[in-house]
Amino acid sequence: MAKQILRINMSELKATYEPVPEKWAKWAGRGLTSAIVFDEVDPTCHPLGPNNKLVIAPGWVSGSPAAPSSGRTSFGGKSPLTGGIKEANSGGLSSQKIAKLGIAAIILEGAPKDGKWYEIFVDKDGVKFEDAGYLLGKGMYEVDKLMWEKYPNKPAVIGIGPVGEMKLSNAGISVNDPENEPGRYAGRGGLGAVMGARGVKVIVVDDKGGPGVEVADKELFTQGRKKLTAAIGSHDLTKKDGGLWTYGTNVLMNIINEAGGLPTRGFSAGQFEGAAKISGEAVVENIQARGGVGAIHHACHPGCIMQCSSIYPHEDGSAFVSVIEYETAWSLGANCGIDDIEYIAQATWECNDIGLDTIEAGNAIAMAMEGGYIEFGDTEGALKTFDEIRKGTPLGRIMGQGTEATAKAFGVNRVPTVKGQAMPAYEPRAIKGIGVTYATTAMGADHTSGYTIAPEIAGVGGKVDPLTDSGKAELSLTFQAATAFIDSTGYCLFIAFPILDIPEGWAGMAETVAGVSGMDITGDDVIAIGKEILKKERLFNEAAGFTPADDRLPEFMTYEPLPPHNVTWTMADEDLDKVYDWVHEGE
Amino acid sequence: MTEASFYKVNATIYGDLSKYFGGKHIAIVDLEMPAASTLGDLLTELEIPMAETSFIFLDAVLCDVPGLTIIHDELLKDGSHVGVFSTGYMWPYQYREGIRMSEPLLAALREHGAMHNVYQTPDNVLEKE
Repeated sequence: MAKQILRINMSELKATYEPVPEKWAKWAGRGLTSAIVFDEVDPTCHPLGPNNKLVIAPGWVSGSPAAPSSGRTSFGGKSPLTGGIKEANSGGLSSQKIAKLGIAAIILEGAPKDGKWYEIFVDKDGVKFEDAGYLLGKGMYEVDKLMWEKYPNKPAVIGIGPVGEMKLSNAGISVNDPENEPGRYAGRGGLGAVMGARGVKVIVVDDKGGPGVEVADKELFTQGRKKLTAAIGSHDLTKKDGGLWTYGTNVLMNIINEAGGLPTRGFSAGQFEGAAKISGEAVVENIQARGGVGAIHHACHPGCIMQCSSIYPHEDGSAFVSVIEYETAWSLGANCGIDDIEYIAQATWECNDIGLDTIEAGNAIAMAMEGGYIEFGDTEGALKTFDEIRKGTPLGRIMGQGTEATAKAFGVNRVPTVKGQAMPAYEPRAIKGIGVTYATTAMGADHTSGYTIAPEIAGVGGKVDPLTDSGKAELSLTFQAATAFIDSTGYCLFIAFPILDIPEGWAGMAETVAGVSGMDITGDDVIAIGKEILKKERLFNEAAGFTPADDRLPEFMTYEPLPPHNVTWTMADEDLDKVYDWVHEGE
Repeated sequence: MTEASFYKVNATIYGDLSKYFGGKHIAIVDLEMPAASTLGDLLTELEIPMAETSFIFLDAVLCDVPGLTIIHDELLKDGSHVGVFSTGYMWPYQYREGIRMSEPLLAALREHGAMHNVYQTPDNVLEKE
């Protein structure tokens, strides 16, 4: 059975299944969400208005038999945080279940004429709309629980917390994990507000009895799957007992701190004296000591063989929160001058429940600290800000809008954002390569927009010397293109670690995509396909009013030296402009 | 004023290696080293098995990455801090591109290629196994 587009019109409360048009036939995941947003969303529309759409798409290989670590769901739309195109993706249960229903993408459009909120249920028999009034104001922990009580077969639950209901720009979209907890977020860019603006509190997806995912060339798919699985399983970073397996993503805290690249107290220093206390090592020590349901190897979706997630328990061993990612521990911790891991666990739980992106939330708190509303290091004061947001007080609504709005409210001029989105846990003055990607990606400051693929592996030649300042634009473009491709596969982006070092893994990834989709591609085509996606995203932003002047890091980073190396951001504007100077070639 | 004949140096050991120094996941070691000692001297003094190391820092400068074999002749200073990570630690290339690195490491990366997460070089295989 050919895949279909499920179009859900909230104005008419009507769902239609459409054949995938030829222009979208080659795309999946991020490639498909960005293609649909590019084709169907007016770049000048208000992100919360009736002309924006939320697009949800599993990747090429999601739901296919035994593709390793392939449970990412892409969410796309026009971002209320940046004003540009946005793709944010999440782990959890949704990707594989949507794919197994034969759905290439769900397009959520319009808004209910009656002003009501809706719960949407999708299964093999179609779509049902129910009044979601009973869910309003509830956090995602309760919503997930209620949905599994109401519906059989342990469905995927895609939902928004109170922040999404208030349509605040830091609202993320939650996806439940195999334990039905809401720790998986398409967090960045405020797409939860876009879902809220459609009048949808929750989408429940049950794939039981669905047609499953067709594999066009089983032999090629199996060959690629074996290569990729072997690469993941043998690489030092992703194999069992490797760094990711042992400490999760928070393995990075002490390393980045030792390098002087850990943004501390609102990006005012590159090292935090309390980093070790909030690191993956500290988290693992507590999990091991507390026992109970605590776990240090946890899969955020079925079939993940990297298992970088964990379950952090209370002192009595009962479940507390999953998962304290590196970016989360940094944002809510070091960036706020806080070295209390119990606070970070609680703050993470709050974000998961009310529906906040943790990176943006921690940066917003740091702005409130920078502005003198609370002191750096004040855990009690920081926790109160989550209460304010949950209650929707005027202060809470400001902080729920994210870093820039909070900085304006408190008169702060050191604002670590690009295109309105707050920076993640890597200081661009110290880690200059990431700064190029922060500045130029269409997504706003985003650490996942440029994952490394060595030029010799990506088939783009080995011309770039990463150890010199020249060629940084070409390097960043290659990284961004490779990432756009991987974001379209449904694979976790962390497969980039092994396939960077193991060429067979890179080839295997492309072979699985070719095997499932029937497309005639190899590893040598990945960068070109990725650039097609980047071009659509760039052109959307240009039509929305973005110019090269938006591809810049914050001014304070150009004149404020960052300890301990006392470095500033020195990349020339014309070098940044080279990253996307190809977009209009041939016009 | 004469220069001190010994430097006070601090080292933090991360991961499995910390067990050699009484830690579960992290161990902190304070020691004195003769003036003009190198990072290599300190690693020798600590008796750290180099086959079990990955990233090594001296005063926020990256001096080693997983799988390379480098002669650490970087000089210590009074008050220097050294960070030593066990094998298996992850630091994706894109999150370290452009950070400060020591000259011996830069030379090694020019030879072996900068953009890898881990290295399996012939000299590494010979000297670390």
